[in-house]
Amino acid sequence: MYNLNEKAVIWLTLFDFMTSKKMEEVLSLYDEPSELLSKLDPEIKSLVSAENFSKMEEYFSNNILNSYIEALEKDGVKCITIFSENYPRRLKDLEFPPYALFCKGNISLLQSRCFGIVGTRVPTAYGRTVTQSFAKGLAENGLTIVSGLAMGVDKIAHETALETGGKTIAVLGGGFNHIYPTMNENLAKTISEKGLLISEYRPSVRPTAYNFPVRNRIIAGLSDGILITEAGEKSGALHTKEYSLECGRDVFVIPGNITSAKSAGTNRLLKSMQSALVTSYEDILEAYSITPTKHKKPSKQLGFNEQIIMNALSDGELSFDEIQIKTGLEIKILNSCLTTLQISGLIKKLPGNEYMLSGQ
Amino acid sequence: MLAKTLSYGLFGIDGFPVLVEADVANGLPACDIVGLGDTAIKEAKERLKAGIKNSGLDFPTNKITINLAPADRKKEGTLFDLAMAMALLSATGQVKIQEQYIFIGELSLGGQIRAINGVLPLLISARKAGYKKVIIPEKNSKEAGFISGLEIYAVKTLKQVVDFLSGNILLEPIKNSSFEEALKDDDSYQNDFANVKGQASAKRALEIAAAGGHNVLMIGPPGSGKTMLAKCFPSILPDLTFEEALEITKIHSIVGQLDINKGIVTKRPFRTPHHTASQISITGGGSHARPGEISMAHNGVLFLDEMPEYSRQTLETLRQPLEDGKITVSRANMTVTYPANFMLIASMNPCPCGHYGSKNGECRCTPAQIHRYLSKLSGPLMDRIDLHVEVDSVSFSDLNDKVSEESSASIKERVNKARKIQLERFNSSSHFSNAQMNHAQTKKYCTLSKECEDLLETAFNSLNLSARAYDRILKVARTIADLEGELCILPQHIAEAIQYRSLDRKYWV
Repeated sequence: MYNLNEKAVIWLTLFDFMTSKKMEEVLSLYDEPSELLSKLDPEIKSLVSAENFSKMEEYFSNNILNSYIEALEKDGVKCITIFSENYPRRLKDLEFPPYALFCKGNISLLQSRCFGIVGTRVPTAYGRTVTQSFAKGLAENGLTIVSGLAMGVDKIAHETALETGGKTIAVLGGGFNHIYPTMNENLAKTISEKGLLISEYRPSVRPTAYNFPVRNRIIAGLSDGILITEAGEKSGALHTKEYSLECGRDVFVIPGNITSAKSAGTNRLLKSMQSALVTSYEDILEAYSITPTKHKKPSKQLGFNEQIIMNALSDGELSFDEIQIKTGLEIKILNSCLTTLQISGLIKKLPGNEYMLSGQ
Repeated sequence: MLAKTLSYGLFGIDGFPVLVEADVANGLPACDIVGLGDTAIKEAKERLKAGIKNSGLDFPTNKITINLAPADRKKEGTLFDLAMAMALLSATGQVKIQEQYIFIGELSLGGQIRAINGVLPLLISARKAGYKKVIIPEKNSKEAGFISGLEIYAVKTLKQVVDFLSGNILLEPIKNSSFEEALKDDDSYQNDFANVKGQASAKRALEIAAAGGHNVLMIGPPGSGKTMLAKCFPSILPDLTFEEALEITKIHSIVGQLDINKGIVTKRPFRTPHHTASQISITGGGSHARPGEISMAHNGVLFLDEMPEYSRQTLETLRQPLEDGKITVSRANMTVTYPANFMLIASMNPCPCGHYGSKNGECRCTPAQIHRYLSKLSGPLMDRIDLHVEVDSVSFSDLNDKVSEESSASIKERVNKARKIQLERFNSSSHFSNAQMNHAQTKKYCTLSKECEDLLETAFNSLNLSARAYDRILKVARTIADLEGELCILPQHIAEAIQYRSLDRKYWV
C-alpha cells in the first residue's frame, strides 16, 4: 500500500489547481511530505488563493483521502508518486516532473526502454506509412512506444506497436474517465490491457486544451528519444521537441516533401539542425546500439505479372489507371495481382485508389 | 329503370371489378353518385351531363342515383366516367348492352373519351379474373396492345361507343403490339461508356455490378466523373424481358409517367431523386399510398448522388426494400405492397471537402469530420452494398487522349452473357441475379477450392477486412467467374473481388 509520503501527494491531486510546480512549493514548506497529512501549514495560503485554501481546509477536515484511494483501487488505477520506489527516474530530468502518475495497466513498462513517436493529428498517406513502418521496427526490437493517444500519428503509433506484439505507453492529457478524442476509447481500453495508460490527472479530470502541451513533457521525459514522423508548421509535436531538448533527449525527424504543408514543421527542424535526420528505424536503433533483429525476407517467388507491377511502382506511388497504362495488363488480371501483392505485404493501397511499395 | 355496367378500379398495382348501377326514378331532377368515391368521382355528374348532351343523347331530367359497388371500398379517379355514362344511357333505354363489357375511360364535356392512368394493371387484373371484352380510350390503345387474350376496343367518343353497342358501326379489336419491335425502336442511350475517358477500374466494377445485379458505391473527389459513370450505367444493363417490362410499365402507368405513344417501358428505369427528397417520395406513401422512387426504379437503377447528403432516416428506410425487393406502404385506409427490386448506385466524396487522398487538392478536414461524414452510412446499409470503388480524378492528358474507349454495346454483350448463366442457375421467376442470393444459396453456389479458402483467409488477416465482407466477396467472385464463363470460382476471381471492399479496409481514417 501507499506510504505516508505517497499519500500526501495523492491527497494533493484532489485539487485541480495543484500543478506539479505548486505541489513542489507546498511540500517544500514541510521537512517530510507526510507531515502535510497531520497539519495544514497556514503559509500555504500565500501560495494558493484564499478560496482554494479554504477548499483545502474543508477537504482536510473531512478526511476523504481513504475513500479516494479506495475508489482508485476499485477502478484498477494505481498511483505512482515522485516518492515511490518505482517512479521512473528519467522523469526527474524534467524541470517540473509530475508528482503523481495515475497508471492503468502494466506498470513495469515504466522501467523499460521507452521511445516517443509523435506527429500531426492529420497525417498524409506518407505520414501514415512512415509512422507505421518506424513504429513496427522499433517495437519489434524491444522499445516501448510512448505517445499521446491523440488522433493521427499518435494513434497509428500505438496501434502498430500493439499489432506487432510490442509494448506501448499512452500519456493522456486528462483523467482516465474522459478519454479524448472519444474515438480512441477502444484503443485506450486495449492499451490498458496490453500496455500502459498514464496520466498526471486523477480519473475524473476533464481534458483541457492547456493540458495537452503539458502532458507532452511526460512523453519527452519518459523516452530516451523522440521521433517526429510528420508535423506541420504549428504542430503540437513541436512542443514535445522543446521538452525533449530541454531534458537532453535525442530528437529524430523524418524528412518530408518540401511542397507538403504537413511536412513544413519537420523540415524546418531539420534545417535548424536541432535534430537528427533518419530514413529508417535502423538509424534509430544504431543510435542506441541495438542490433536489429533480422527479418526473414519473403522468399515467395513473384509471378511474371506481379513483377511487372512491382517494377512499375518502383518510381513512386501510382494510381490504378496509371499502373494499368504503364503495365498494359488487363484490368481483371491487374486487380487480382494487386490483391495478392497486398496480401504478401509488398505493396500498400492508399486512399484515392493509389498504390505504393511498402518498402519491406 | 335500373341498369348495370362493369368497370375496374385501381388498388395499388392491381385492379378490382366495380359494378356501376344507375337508377332513374321519378322525383325532382337530381344526380347523386354514391359508393365511397373521391372528389373526382363526385364531380363526374357534371361531366356526365355535358358529355351525354353534347353527344346528341338525352340526359334524363329525373332523379338519378348511381352506385359504385362494392360500396364500402374507396374508389378514386376518373376512369369510371364511361361506365357511369353507359349505365345511365342503358337505364334510359338509349342503348342496349347485350354482352358483358368492361368500360374504362374519362369523359370530356364534349363527349370525347380521354386517356387514363393505370390501363395496363387494370387489363392484367381483368384478364386474370376471366373477363373477355374491354372498351378503353383510344389514347391508351398502345399500352393495351401488349396484353394478349382480351378483346379490347379502343374508342374516341361516347357516341362511338353507343353506335358500336347498338350495332350501327363495326369496331376491330386492337392489334397486339410486339415487344421486340418496341425494343428495336428504341435502343439508343444518351450516354455511352465510349465517351468516358480512363476510369478503367470504375468501369470494370460497373460491368460486374450490371452482370450480377450488385449494388455499388463510388467514392471519389468532386469532378472525378462519378455522376457521368452512373449516367452511362443504364446502357450496359442487361435487356429487359417482357415480364420485367410489364412490371415496370404497371407502376409507371399508375403514376402517369408512361409515354402513351410508346405504351410500354423498354429501358430499365434510372431514377435519380435529389438528396432533398422526402422519405415518403422515396419509399412511397401519401394519403393514396402512391409508389415512391424505389418502386419507380423497380427492375432498374436507383442512383443516389452524394449519398451522405440524404437524411439518415431516408437512407435507413432503403434497408428493408434492398433486402426484400418490395415495400409495403401502410396508410390509415389502405395497405399496399409495391415491388421495389432495384439496383442501388450511390456516389460520395471521401470526406466533406472531397479531397481526401486526392492528388489534385489538399484535404483540410479533421479526422473527426471525416469520421462523422463516413459514419452517416450505417453499417447495415453498407452491408447491402457489394462493391465499393474508388474513382480517381482524371488528368488532362487522359481527357485529351485519342485512344478510343470500349463502347457500352460491347460491354453489354458480356453482361448479357453472364446474366444468362445466372438465369439458368436460379431458374426461378423471382430470382434473376447473384446479388439476390441468400446465405444458403451463397453456400451452395459459391463453393471454394482449398486454394481459394486459403487466399481468402490470408486476405482477411492481412488486409483487415471486416467480417461483413465475407458473403459480399463470395457473391462478387461468383459474378466475376460468370463473366469469364467459368464454372468454379478461381483464386483470381476472389482476389479481384477483394479489391472492391475499400470501405471495409481500415486504412480509411
